[in-house]
Amino acid sequence: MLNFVDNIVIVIAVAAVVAIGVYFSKSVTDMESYYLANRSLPWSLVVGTLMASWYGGVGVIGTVGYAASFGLASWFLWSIGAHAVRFPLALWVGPKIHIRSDVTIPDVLHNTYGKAVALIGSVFLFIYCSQIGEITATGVIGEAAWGINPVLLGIIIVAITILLTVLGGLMGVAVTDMIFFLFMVLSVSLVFPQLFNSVGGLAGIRAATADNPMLMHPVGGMPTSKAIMLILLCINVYADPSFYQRFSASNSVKTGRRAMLTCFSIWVCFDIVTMLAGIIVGITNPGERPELAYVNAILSHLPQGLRALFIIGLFGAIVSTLDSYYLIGGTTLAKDIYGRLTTKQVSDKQMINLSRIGSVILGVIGVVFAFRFTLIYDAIAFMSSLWMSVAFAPVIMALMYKGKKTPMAGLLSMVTGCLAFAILKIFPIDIPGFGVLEPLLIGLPVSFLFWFIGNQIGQDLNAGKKTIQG
Amino acid sequence: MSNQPEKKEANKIEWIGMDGFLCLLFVVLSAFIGFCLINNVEVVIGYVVPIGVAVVTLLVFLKYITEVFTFSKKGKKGKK
Repeated sequence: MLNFVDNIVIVIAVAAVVAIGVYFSKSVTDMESYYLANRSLPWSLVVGTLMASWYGGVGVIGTVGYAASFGLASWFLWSIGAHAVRFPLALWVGPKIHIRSDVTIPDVLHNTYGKAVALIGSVFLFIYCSQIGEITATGVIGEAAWGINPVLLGIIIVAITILLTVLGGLMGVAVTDMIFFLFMVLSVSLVFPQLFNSVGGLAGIRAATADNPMLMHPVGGMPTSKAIMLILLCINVYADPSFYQRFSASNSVKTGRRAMLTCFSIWVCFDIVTMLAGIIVGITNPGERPELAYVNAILSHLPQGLRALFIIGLFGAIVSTLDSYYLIGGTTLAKDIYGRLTTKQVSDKQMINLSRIGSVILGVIGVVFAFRFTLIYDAIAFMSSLWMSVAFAPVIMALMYKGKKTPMAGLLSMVTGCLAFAILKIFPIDIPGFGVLEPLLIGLPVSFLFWFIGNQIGQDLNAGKKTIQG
Repeated sequence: MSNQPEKKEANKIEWIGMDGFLCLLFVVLSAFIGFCLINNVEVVIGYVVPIGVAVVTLLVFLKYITEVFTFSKKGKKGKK
């Protein structure tokens, strides 16, 4: 646990980071608008933004939990597979969507399938924005750092996040994100050699897992169903307009592509560090929650003061992720749900108030559901699987498919994807040798199938109109 | 849109160039780390990979912060 000195370091470091954030906030805001307007983000900033925004605190802690359960297969199947399926995004898809001007998912749905589909999509997007996995992670980290009740800490973090969202998201600025990310990566990477040596390296890990050799088997430790589901979750980014917005902000297609390709190599290396650490804490702390054991292990191996930076890095990354999702969720409630339902003119003040209410609702959803999952990544997988089963097919077809697209295609795709997910979640099917059938594995193909069936019914809304490309 | 063909040409994937190198780098790194994991190459897994990640992240951070700082200075000068 953290001591008095660590807590003082936390207070000083947080004050320093906030001061840096305040110093840069005006220029960074200018810079963001400048870059978005002029599309001139250089390579280093695209790499930094991608690294800090895609690999948050929950990514690290959640990965540790899964690695402790599924062993080396987590890296061989999940990590390599997940980055590999994103190569087409960097090489061909990202550059192709570079010129699109639509940036929100409900806008894309509305343009393609009409109001009803946009409304359903907005509701699920709003739920997805609760990011319950992040709150589950705060509970685990807080329990290890201060011995605080996880639910209480979850409430405190949600309250801080809502406050920051309402105040304008100071912590969300790019510079502070990058500082938090640096703290986190340095702590995790530099502590790893000590952790690794403490169990006698790879030979020691193999000896300790002799009774469960599948943990150190390249592919044997993870059920096939789980591996396919995790890789599928990673293609979610193909249907994320905010990703294309970031990609488009780079100064050229070449820059965006190369920044992403660079990140894949860095991530695949960082993944093995966190995943092996997960296996190690699983060995040294059998029966204990792996994520909690991991944070405890890092805290016990880092010197006083430095371990405070690790905690700041994790919390900072989590708060900044939550902050940005709460902003998106709040806007979704105000603009995409209320704005589409009402026939009255909504004033800017009403929109802001509704956005704030949306943030509070998301916080409540998060705190209520976050602590019902055994592992942090289970919470992430649940939300992402639900979202993908419902919205991935209609969004990706709207973005990529140039042919006829009817409102019925979007509607049937969403309804059947959601039903398939719900049925398999309520009545799980265990297939010997494959594992429990993950709802996404059925929800996603069903959603695509019914998209094509629905596309045979009705008229194309965009027939005769120009496409959404700018 | 007369510059479209030129733009298309500039955006072309350079397989024999930086794009090809970065793709190959991922494959080589994955294969190398995988080989080291299976064959218990302790030094690479225990030291080279984590320290390498820390160094690369630090370099990206320094480049990032320099760019932001330069921009912030430029922005302030521009406003005076």
